[in-house]
Amino acid sequence: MGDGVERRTFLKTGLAVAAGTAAAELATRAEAALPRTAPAARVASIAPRPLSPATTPDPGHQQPLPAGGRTVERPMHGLPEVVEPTGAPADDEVAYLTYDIDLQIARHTPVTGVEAHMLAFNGAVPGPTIRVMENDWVKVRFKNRTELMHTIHWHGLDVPYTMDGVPWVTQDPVRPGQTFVYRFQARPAGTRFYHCHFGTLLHMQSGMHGAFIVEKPDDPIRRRFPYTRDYTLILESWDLNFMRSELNAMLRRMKERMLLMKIGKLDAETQGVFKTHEQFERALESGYIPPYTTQRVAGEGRAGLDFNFFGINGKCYPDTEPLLIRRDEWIRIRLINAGQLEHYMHLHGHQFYIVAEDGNDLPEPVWQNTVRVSPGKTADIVVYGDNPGYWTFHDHDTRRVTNNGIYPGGMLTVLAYEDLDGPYVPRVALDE
Amino acid sequence: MNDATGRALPGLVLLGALFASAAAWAADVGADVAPRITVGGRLISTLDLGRAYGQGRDDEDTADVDVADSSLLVRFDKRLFDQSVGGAVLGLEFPDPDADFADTVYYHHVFAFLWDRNYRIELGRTKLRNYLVEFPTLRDDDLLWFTETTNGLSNSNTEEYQQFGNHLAVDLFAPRQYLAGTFYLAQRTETEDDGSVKDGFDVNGGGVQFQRTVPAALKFSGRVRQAGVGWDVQRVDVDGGAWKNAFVAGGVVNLTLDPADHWEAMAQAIYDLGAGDEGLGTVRTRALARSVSVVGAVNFRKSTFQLLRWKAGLTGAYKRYTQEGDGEWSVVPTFQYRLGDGVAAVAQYRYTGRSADLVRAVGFDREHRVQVGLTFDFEAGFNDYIGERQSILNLEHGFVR
Repeated sequence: MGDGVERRTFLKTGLAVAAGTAAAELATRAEAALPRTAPAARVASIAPRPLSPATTPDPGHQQPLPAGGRTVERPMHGLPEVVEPTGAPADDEVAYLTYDIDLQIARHTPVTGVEAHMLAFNGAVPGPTIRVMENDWVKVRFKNRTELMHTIHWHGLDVPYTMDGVPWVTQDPVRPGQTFVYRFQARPAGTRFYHCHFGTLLHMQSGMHGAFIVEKPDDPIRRRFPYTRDYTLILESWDLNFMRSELNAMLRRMKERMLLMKIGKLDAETQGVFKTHEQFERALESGYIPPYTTQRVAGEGRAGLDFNFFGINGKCYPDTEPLLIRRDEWIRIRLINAGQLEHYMHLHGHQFYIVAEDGNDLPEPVWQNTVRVSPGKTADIVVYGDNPGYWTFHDHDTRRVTNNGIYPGGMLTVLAYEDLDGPYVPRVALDE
Repeated sequence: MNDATGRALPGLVLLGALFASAAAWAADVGADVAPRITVGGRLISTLDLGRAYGQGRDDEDTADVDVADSSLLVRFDKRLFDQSVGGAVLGLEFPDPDADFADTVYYHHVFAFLWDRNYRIELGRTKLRNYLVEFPTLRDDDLLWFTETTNGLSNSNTEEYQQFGNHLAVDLFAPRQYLAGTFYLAQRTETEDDGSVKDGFDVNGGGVQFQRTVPAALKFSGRVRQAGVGWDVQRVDVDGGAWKNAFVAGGVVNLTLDPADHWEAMAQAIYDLGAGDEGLGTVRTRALARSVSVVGAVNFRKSTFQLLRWKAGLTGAYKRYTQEGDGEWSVVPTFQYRLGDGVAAVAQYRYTGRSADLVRAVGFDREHRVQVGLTFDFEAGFNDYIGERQSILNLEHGFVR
């Protein structure tokens, strides 16, 4: 019996090893067949609005960014203006790179002709890209200028738990007008991102997300694939109708809550936040009605989400930015799924290597032409420019290559060769 | 053909015409854009117990189950090519028991509309703009003769002829200031002396209103929620044709800025110059009489967990017919306890007193009415891709179509 089990195990293991080896050899052969170029001295990072470190102390954002609508510049009712939790080294202990991020409600145009109110870090969607080296010390001064409550969660980064940005679990939410100072060391390296973790379903899709890229000094991926351009693409899915109705509903409730706080009547039940489960149970016994029962439905009565626009870096096709490449050039594309749907990004006319997932380098690159990016996941791919032309790069769940149901649109962009003088150039197609 | 059928017929004909014309229009209507559909309604059912005391006549006791003012509304909206909104409303209501068509329904809303950020246009049958302030009584028409500019062209008991009519109303808005100016032409229902609707009648009135009204979503943003003035004019059949002018002023204030224990007060005055001097003997002559009516109310709303649980209101009203020197007054405490979202147990008491000629016309000088019952209110939206003109986002963060 023992022999039988061992033999079956051997067969299974042997087959698995053989299959793995074959795939690796295939990848290696394919990689070897591609021309190699010397690593360029410099990599051009192409990402949503890179954010430069601040040079002046401005923890309360005394000089706020311009806003198009109503903002809250100071916290009300005696709340501290700046919250600086413990759990990270003090300013005089390490050299922090300081970044200022504020939040306001802005009008955003996901695609020409369609406008929506969104929650905009530094006034735009998605938020600015923060790019640091591994083990840099980072300080982010986040000012909430909306009437809603928020946090920032550093997705995929190993930060002290007091900096993890989960409301009521690691911190109180950042109240209207407050500044919260996050401090942490940027590690591990890789493609990371940040997003609001308060009312995550609404806030994250409403624009509160941005890329956080942690680079290694001598990146093995770049040594192996000497890319000269480094693209960051944030994948988004929006139900603009849910966002509109629920943002309005949350603003109305928050206005009332701020009044209740002012007159000392904001209690645990009204906030829906209890110190302990026992306190929650006691509230139920005394008549408290949880919001997830029949008293309220999100989206002012709408039963569920119905995503109708899909974006890359805040834009839907045909407003998406093309990915530029030259013949014999390697490019890196960092995909970040900041939405609630799974996407299957397919590149026409090329194979590519998946070199990292969740920001972490894969032991061995995987040679494919479609990469699955689940909600919350990141995937890094490298592409070699060996087939000049214009090539679409899109979610192959083509329901997401639509704008309000009309194809083409949504999560689609074009890999365009800069040095191409081809017989056909892309048009702007809106309706097929 | 009895009166009830006769009154219902115009509505049925209108609806029939709509459906009949739908076939002819079908070729122009694509199925590509479904409208936003909003269905709303209210069923109010009360057990009414009344006692009326008359001068020189027997007291009269009444008991009945009253479903009057229960209604069903359907609204359709679509985005237009220029991103403004167009739509239509269809609504039916169950009239009061003493209406001329009590056993059938009344199509109280049949109108088309257009709106954008700065305007709204309504054309068709709907609620007339003959008032400014809504008071916290159980039914809209509980104090109709105090709260609305009455119809000098109707001699019918049917209160729908006072409240509803055909109109062309244009509202112009300054949204961020919550200001609105309204201009309307009205075609109020005209009846014969016996209360039957005339075979034909033209536009017979109009008016203007100016008011500042804070949207419901921002009701706690300040003390004054509503303040406005208006002028209403009717071309009435007195002395071969005369103008009846009425002026209205009113408003609503927050007594407390407390969403949990909220006190509010509201008041409205109507100064009706009347037309002619024909006494108070009939519905029409009372509507034509020169009068001053004043209504005031306080209302308390108790909310827990940001849910309204109960509310109680006290409304007082007084109307004086200045030429005759007669008057009537009413006091109405109202209580509603919410059993769930849109479902409430309700109770109301109403006392009405009258003097002299008015007593002779109506028959009683004192009336008591107790009402207890249930209400079911609902609103359900489908395919909402439009949003509202007065949403918080649109008002405070820039208008998005």
